[in-house]
Amino acid sequence: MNTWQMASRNLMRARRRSSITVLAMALALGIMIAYSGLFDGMMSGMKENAIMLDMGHIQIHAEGYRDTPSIYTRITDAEDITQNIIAKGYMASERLFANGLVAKGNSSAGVMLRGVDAEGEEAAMQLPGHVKNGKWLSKDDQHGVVLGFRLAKTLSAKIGDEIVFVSQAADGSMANDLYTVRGTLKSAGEMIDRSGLFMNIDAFRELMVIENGAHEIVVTIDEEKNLEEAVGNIKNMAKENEVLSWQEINPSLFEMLNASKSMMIPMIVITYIAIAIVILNAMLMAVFERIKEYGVMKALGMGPLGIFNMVVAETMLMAITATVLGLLLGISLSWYFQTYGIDLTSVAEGATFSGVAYNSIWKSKLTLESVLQPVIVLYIMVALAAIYPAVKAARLNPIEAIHHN
Amino acid sequence: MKLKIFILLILMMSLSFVLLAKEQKTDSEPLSAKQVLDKLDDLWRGKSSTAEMTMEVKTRHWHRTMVMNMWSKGTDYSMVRVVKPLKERGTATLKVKEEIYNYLPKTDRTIKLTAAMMMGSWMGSHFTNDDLVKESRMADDYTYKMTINKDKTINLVLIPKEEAAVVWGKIEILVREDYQPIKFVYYDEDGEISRTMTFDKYEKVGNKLVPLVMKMTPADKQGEYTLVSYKNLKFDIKIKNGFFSLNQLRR
Amino acid sequence: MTVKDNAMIMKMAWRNLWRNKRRTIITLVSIAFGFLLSITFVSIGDGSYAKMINDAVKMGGGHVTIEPVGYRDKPALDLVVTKSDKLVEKLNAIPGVKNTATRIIGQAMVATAADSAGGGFIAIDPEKENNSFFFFKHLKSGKPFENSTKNKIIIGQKMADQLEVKVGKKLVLTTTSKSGEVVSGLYRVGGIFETGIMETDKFMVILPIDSIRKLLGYNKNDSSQIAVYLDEQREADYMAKHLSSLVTPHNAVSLPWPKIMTELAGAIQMDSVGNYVFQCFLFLLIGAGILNTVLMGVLERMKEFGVMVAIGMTPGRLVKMIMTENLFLAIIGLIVGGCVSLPVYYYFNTVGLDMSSFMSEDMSVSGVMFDPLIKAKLYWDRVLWIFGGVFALIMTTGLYPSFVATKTRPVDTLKIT
Repeated sequence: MNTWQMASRNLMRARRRSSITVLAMALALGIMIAYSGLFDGMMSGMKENAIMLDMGHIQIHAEGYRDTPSIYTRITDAEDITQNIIAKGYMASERLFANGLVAKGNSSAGVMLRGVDAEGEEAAMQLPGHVKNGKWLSKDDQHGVVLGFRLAKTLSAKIGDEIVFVSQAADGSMANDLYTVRGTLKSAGEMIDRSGLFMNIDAFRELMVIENGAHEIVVTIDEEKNLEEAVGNIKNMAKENEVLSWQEINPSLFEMLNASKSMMIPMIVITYIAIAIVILNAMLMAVFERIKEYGVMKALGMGPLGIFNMVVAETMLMAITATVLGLLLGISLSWYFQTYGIDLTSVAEGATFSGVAYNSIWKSKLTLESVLQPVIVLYIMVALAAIYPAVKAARLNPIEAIHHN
Repeated sequence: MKLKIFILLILMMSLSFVLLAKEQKTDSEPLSAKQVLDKLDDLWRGKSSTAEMTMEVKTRHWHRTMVMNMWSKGTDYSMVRVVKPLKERGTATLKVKEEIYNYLPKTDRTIKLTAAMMMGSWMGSHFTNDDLVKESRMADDYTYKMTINKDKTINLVLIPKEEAAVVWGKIEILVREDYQPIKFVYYDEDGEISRTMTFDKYEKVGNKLVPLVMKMTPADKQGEYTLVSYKNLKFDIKIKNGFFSLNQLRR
Repeated sequence: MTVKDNAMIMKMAWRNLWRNKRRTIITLVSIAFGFLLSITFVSIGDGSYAKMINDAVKMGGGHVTIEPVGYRDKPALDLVVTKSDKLVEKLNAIPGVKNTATRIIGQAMVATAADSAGGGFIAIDPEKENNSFFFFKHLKSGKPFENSTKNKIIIGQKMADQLEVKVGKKLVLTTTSKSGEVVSGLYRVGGIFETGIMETDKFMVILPIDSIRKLLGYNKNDSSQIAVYLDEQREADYMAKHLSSLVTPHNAVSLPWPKIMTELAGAIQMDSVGNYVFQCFLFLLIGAGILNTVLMGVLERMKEFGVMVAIGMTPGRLVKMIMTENLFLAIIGLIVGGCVSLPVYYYFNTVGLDMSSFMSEDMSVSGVMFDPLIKAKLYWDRVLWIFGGVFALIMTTGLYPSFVATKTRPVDTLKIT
């Protein structure tokens, strides 16, 4: 009879105790998986927000634009470069920016006007889908604008309202025109929320008298793992313009996301310490109950190692069962949260962390890592917890054990 | 009878002599610094005035010329309306007492200037909205020292008074012998030149001699300037306060 | 049941516990550990929220803000809180109010010969606020105001760079007066601050309150805001309600900080919900462990119980005995937990938890700087909740085992196995 068979029989003999222990482990595992998924979901949600709403994976600017933004510092062959990038399989979109004043009735606010390619932005970014009221700009709409979440509040702007935008055009004349509010956005990051006013790039060109060129080309790629390669490719296509990856554009976000990966570990460890105590308890009881048995086994020739292995095997069997159950629980919870999420709209609207908006629906993100990490740590904790009882059992004196009351 | 006429004639002649003498006396007596400053402040201020203005603005990125009509009454009222270029025809700036408005014909909107917009450039030029509105008199805001140069031109050095709300550290004014301004040089607090305004084309309008051309040159922007020239300048025209109204802007 | 009965049950329960020392000790350790975790998480969470809130209100309008009626909807310089001095007197007399700050806030344009910049100003009373005002702690050059009337101005480093000024240089401040006029005043840079928050260093300007009152055409005791600082930030809501009748004759309303800093309130709420969920889960785990132990103990003693029932113990008394065992476990566990938690809390309260390795330098939550050094803070009601929660948990875990115990069959006990 091998160790595993003995172990499983031992477990079955104390069914209730074994099942409670297994259930406790399974619960812990399941919840850690779910929690891990939620945490990952929040982090990747924020990253998604930052990247897919505004920043993109890669940005191209004319040399010097980032240090001293000026409407005159533009990428000259913006259209060609953008087409080339798209041909290579990425998604890209041109953008133009200008500071100005927007007024509605008696309210006015300083804004950053953003001329975007309605279709291109829809293909490359997720901002167009991030509309709270109304809708995003349609392709040929020369008189529509979309407002950031807080800007809309400041101006008390509703769909269909008329606003006037005033600024100085590139030729020195007063740029001013009337626009109709087509939509207002959900919270998308501090800058857009407060001062973002979007219009079609053609309308922008006409208003601001900027015939060609763009201030920024934003690029998104399919898989983050190809980022480095993409940056290389795009640098070749961008001629003398500056190409930056999102990590270079927002290094503090990058740092935070990196740091957060390690933030889960202390949480998991703490949780599992609680589990370890449970396991320790259970195994100690198991060992204690069977001291006589061990004594007999030893008397019959089973060495300490054999006993040690048997105790460990029992623990491992429980762990394996718990893993199966825990995975079931954890994955289904994660799946639920991934699909439906936790609705935070009432609480989180407009809340930001490092300038990036929180998602109003907190969704989980199920990844291999978020599942594997809790499982691995579980096994480590279980193994550790099994040591003391196993050692104790192994070192029993057979004679004393048999006489144990 | 003959005697009476004769005495009248002599009286008249002496009177004219006296008058002439007085005028001459006024002409020859040098003005005090304060008087010069006041004269400069009042250069284009009659009781009322109107003119056609041409403003040429050259910046690093563009070069434009605008033609505008201008009306003013005292210091309380003034209006400037753009005639050319066609795209901006009708754009206007109106000052009524303490308030300033910009009218944009394209959107038919009137924007009241707030404190935040004061330092913004007026119509894209190197003059600020604040420059246009400036009510205070130089003699009130500055302490001054006047010196006369060898070529009879006059230097005035103005240092802002302790509490005066002006950004300049110093203003140096050069005027002709006849008190017509030649140039104003504005210095910042560190003594660096910030901008220079020069004058030209002195002509008599009504009974006043005024320079019809002004050029503002910023010190830190190579090659940029704003050149304003007046045409058809008339002083003391008949114009009602009601003319300076928001409604009038939209005609 | 007589007193003697209860005494006997208690004795038995106590002895039962100590018959199996190891198991009891392990259970006590679990309870203590759970308690410790709970206290630690809660106190660290509360500590970090309290710090964020206190920091934020220092820069903003206090724990409770008193502002003119209608100001929240449309902030404008023509709305004022009247007779602020009298109101401040009354406020300072209220227990729980640490101090107050009378302020005027608005928008202005600042210009030098080099450039002009738009910004927001906060005008303070130097006599009252010189020592505590947030910005004065970050002065890079220059010094705080000497008095309230002189025309000194304190600006952020980024604005100073843009305007090309240093301490001692002048600038012209332009704003809109109470009557709607555009007015300008001359100010000299008295100091330059650097907080590290981009927006603040670029757009905020500090002025002495009486000098701006003059410029704005305000009466001597008009103000835009009275910031009320409390001893305890959690009392904000209560105070705001309490003060509302007091402020009405001054044309004002009193608002607690969550109404003013809604996004910060939202972010904090989100975080504390997450924390709460995690704690519930921990409790669940620990509960499972204890259930396991107690159940084990019961199952072991089924024969005993059989005997006891056979000789006349009622099921009721049996349940009581087991529940009493749990009661003892709870009490001792909590005592141990309390003792262990004290030094740990003390450490986190004084030395704090340094999260800086986890976070980059300039983290902000809804615009407020997040300090990576977190000091724990325990509130009494929280402690009571945790005690209560743990206690209830332990008692609950006694229920199922008690039920199982009553299932004992005396007949079986007489069998010889």
